Amino acid sequence: MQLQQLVDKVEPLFDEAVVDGDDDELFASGYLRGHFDLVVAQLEMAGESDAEKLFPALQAAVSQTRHELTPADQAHIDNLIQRLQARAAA
Amino acid sequence: MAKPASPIVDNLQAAAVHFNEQGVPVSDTFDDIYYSNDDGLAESSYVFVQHNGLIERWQNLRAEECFVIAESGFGSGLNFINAWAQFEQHAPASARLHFVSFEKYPLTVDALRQALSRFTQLAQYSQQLVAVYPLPVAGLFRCRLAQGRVTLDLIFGDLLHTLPRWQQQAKASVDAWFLDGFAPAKNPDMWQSSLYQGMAVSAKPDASFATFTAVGAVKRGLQAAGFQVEKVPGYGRKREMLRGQLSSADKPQQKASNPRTPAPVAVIGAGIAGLNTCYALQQRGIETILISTAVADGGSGNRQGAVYPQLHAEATPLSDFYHAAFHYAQHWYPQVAADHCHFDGLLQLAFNPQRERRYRAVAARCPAALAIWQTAAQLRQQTGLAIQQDGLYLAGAGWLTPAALLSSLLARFRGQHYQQTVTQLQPCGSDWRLSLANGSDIVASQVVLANAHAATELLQPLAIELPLRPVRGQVTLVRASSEATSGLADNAKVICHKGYLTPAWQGVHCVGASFVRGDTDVSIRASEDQQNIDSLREQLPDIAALEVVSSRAAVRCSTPDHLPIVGALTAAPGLFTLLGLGSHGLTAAPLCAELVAAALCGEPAPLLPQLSERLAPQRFAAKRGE
Repeated sequence: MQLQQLVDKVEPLFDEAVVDGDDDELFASGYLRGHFDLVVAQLEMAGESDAEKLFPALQAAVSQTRHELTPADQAHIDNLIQRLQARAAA
Repeated sequence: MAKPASPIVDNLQAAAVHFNEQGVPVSDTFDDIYYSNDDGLAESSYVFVQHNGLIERWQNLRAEECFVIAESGFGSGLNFINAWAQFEQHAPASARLHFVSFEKYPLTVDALRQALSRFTQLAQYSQQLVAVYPLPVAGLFRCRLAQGRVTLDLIFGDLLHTLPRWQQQAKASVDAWFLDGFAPAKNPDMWQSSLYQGMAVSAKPDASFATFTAVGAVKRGLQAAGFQVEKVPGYGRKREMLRGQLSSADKPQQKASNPRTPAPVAVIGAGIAGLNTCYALQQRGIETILISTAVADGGSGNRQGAVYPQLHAEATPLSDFYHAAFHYAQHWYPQVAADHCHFDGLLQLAFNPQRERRYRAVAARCPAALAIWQTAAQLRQQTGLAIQQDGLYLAGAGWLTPAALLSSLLARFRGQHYQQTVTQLQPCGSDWRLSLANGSDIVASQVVLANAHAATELLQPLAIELPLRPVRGQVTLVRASSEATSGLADNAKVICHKGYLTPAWQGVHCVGASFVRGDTDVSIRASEDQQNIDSLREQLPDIAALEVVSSRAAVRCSTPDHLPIVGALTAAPGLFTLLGLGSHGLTAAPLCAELVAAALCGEPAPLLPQLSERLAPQRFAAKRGE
């Protein structure tokens, strides 16, 4: 799958996550969306069109800033990444 | 929700206040008054103006110099309007005042108005402040006052989190600190060593401070941060207060040199990005030249354009940026083109279930003055049109006529304007040489690239690559066959769905816009007119028959993360970008121009670093080489 196709496929999940979610999910969604947009931009800049690279890069970006987060927030972020991956595989 | 460690700011609690018998606002949270019961104004002048030595310092300002004050605790804004009023009285006419104030619990605009109403002698200032006062949402909001002579940056949020971030980019820029806030005994959280350190980091070497309190812990904290502290008699019944300056003020040093060099700054591009930049630079007294192939020949040349924020349901960088940019644009445009702004409301139809979910969540998160959820019936009432979808309604948004705005900005531009294409950009000592298509050269100290995707060609020989993506868009201009009876003539609100429909201007509506990635062709296509109209008809099946009057195609310059690319190019000192405004240039450009001007002049930025870093050109390179 091409990167852009994957992005189009999983992006709506951010908006959906917001609606049924509580404050924590709202936070996770906003936090991750910022990372997600930037990672996509960086991959495109590096000439990457391979969708396989997206999730490893996202994981790497999030792990670099993990120290900013409480363990509970980390869990919310991880959970949302898993849901994005599930959507990607669907 | 408390997320102190998170890099994303939270929504705020507005201040809980009541007014006492003297009409003075009292905080319910801190059980403390906002200003002195006796004479708040005289106390403000005594403590903060007099003990920072401001009147003499203002009288000695150079022409066009900017004096920066930072304050903890904006409160009712009394210190600000008092400083502003006295600055106008004593500073040279071309000098500017930049006032940055931190506030954790902002007053609502109504409470602010009431709190300031007793200072009738300052009524003209209070009224202007009330008119631009931001909504109580976390973040930095820049307010432009007194025709740009006074800039107020309000930073809403917990100072213990916002100040450490802000000080990184405001290093050595503050002339005077107003250390205000509720008394240390009532609000111990604020009076921490990180506050004093932030004051010291952001202070110029000769900066001063003053505070109403003389508490020992405050004195020791300020001393530990590097301030020389002096106890002086307090105001009224208060025995003592503190004043002083950075200890480095003693050491011999040169007066901070003017960062400008003799060669002018060149702005490339005369669209909404370039002309806003010219204005922001000129306001700061910087000699600026404008070089452009034409005026508003790109995306800025549309007949009508919407001004509104893109809002997410969560606090994303994009949503936070657009809210800040919208706040600035909403107040800035009427200052330069009042007759051409029609900020009468805008609606965003929930045209699919995802949008419905998003918009409902946006409405739940945002203050009502920014966005509310409305049913189709309410939207029908708002517009008089047969709307069938629920949606989001933004009361302060609207549209303007870009051509009128740009001519107004161009008319105010006093620098040279070369109607030429720049063919090459080369470093030349510490300056830049711009080669023009007519064979001539121009030398500039700094260059701002505001020429959308045309920047790519100029940057390529410098080995700088930015992900600027051209996206073709065609707008269809239509007239309703039965304008008067269709209700279209009476609707004043912009309707956004997948595309958009503007209210009539001189009997003609804009219906937009197609979206073709990677296409830079600007010829008119009948098929795209049809798409525009079909897409509108999907949302408004009962709309009158529309006659196509004309069409216009242009190329948007977008970026992969939908944020503009704004700031200094670190790989090429002296080059700055204001690029990648996508479909939202009218909303984003004024604040982005302030960001470029601030970076160029070493002034405090109009965004907190967590956002300005997300706009910075080097964000795309962050992960390279790993």
